[in-house]
Amino acid sequence: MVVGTGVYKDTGEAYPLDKKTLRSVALRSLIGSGVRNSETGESIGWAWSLMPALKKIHTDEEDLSLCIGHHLEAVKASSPLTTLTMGVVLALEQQKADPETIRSVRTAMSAAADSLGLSLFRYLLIPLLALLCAQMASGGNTLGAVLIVLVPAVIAIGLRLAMINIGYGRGVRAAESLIRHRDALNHAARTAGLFVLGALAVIMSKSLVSQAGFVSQYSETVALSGLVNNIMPGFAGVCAAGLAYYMLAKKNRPVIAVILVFVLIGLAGAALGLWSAWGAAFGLPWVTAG
Amino acid sequence: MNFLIFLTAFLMACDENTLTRVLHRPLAACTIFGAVLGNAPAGLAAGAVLEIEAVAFDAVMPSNYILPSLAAAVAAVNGGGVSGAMAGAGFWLVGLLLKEVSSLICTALLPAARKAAETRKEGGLTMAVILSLVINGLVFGLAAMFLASKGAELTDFFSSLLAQNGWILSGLYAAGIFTGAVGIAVLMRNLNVKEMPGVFLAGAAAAAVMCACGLGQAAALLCALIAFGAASLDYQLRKGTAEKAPETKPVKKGGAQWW
Repeated sequence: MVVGTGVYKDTGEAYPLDKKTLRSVALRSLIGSGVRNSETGESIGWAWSLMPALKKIHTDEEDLSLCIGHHLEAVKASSPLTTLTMGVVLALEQQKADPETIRSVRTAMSAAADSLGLSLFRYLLIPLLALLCAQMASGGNTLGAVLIVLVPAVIAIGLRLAMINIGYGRGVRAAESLIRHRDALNHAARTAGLFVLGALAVIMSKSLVSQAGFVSQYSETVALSGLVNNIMPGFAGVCAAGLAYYMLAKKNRPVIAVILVFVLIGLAGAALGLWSAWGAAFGLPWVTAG
Repeated sequence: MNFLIFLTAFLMACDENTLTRVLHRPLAACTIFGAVLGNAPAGLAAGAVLEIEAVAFDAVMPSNYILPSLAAAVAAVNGGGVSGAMAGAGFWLVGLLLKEVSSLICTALLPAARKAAETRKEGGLTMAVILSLVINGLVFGLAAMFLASKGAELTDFFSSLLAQNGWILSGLYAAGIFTGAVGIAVLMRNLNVKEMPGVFLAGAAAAAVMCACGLGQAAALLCALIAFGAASLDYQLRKGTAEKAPETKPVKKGGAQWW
């Protein structure tokens, strides 16, 4: 059996989680969100953060195994709002919802929480604070360097502790009413999960930059980079997801083979100037100057 | 001195996505590196200049600022002053590349984590978490030590490396991005994409349009909101159908059936 697939044997609702366990999950997430790998994002840190709660919820050993396994699947969990998703996911785990429902809710919610959290922090709080502190520091005030570290840290820790309680509390209440229609909930969650997954396939590759162009009949190089940079990254991401799905699910190839194929594609594409921000390997006519 | 720089960069790399998440920002990092190099005020001044550059760079491509900050601090402390801070700007992309390299290496920890899940051993997961942080810290710590030992001349080295063999770095960077597709493919299989391929493609199309419109980071949030809207509608419709189901019982024999 593939780790993380199947259904729970014990479907009886577990005891509600206490505040101490939720706090422990939130504090672990501080470290867990920094554990990243190329294949599944922050999944190892995510599963490790949830462990104190999962051990209390799943008393059956095989269920616990299955549960940790599916939490090791790809997830975006680097923002401080991640604990909101963790709270909702733990509420669903406590109600013993289908793993398929949980995985769909996790995929959709974590993408939303991650994006919102990063937008609030990286594009609003940090720039505002950075400009303010840089102003202070340029006048020789050391407080600028201290404030830029302390303020985001305090806000992030506070948010993590608050969000897990909100997520869990709301999640339990929502799950109790939603779970009565298990099939409808399952289908709806899968719809959301797959939609977000499609979006993630495009978004993950949006930082690919191309310098491609073509030589016109008048021997002038016409830059295609504007057009290609708008369409190609997304197209490449969907193709990569499709290829990985084909190799893993249809051909049953090991993950390492897929990664090797991607390394070859990455190098070949870069040599041809398809996604090279730093020029191509050879003097190719369709690669415009950077 | 080199060990102190290694340790500082190691801790900053561990902090980047964990506790404060801002120790690697130029303002904090330059000040700390300045202090390590013996001139905190010069580091602070260089950090203030580089921080404003970083805010602009962040809007395009968020990076890790440990190496740019170290380069700026080295230049500022060695007499480059505030204008020397711009030496750090040559390392924006190197930070980004190292992050991707570190993530690629950490992918090797996944089988151990899955084994820990299978055997329900929390210790295995904890070890994977610690090793992952250590690998990330080591990558940046060693790079920082190398940079500090070479000094400002390394900026020229990286510039020439990018100019001559940039495509190799580009290829590895692209490979790192594509590897994320493996995680997505596993989820596609587990969410049974075969039953609803249209939903997956609709999500991809929506994100492609949003990215082409320059929405960037907001695209994921907007797509998630659309997904929740669609899921809510789907749930209401299916719940309604399920509730109405008993009314569609076959009419008793002999009952009026107009068709």
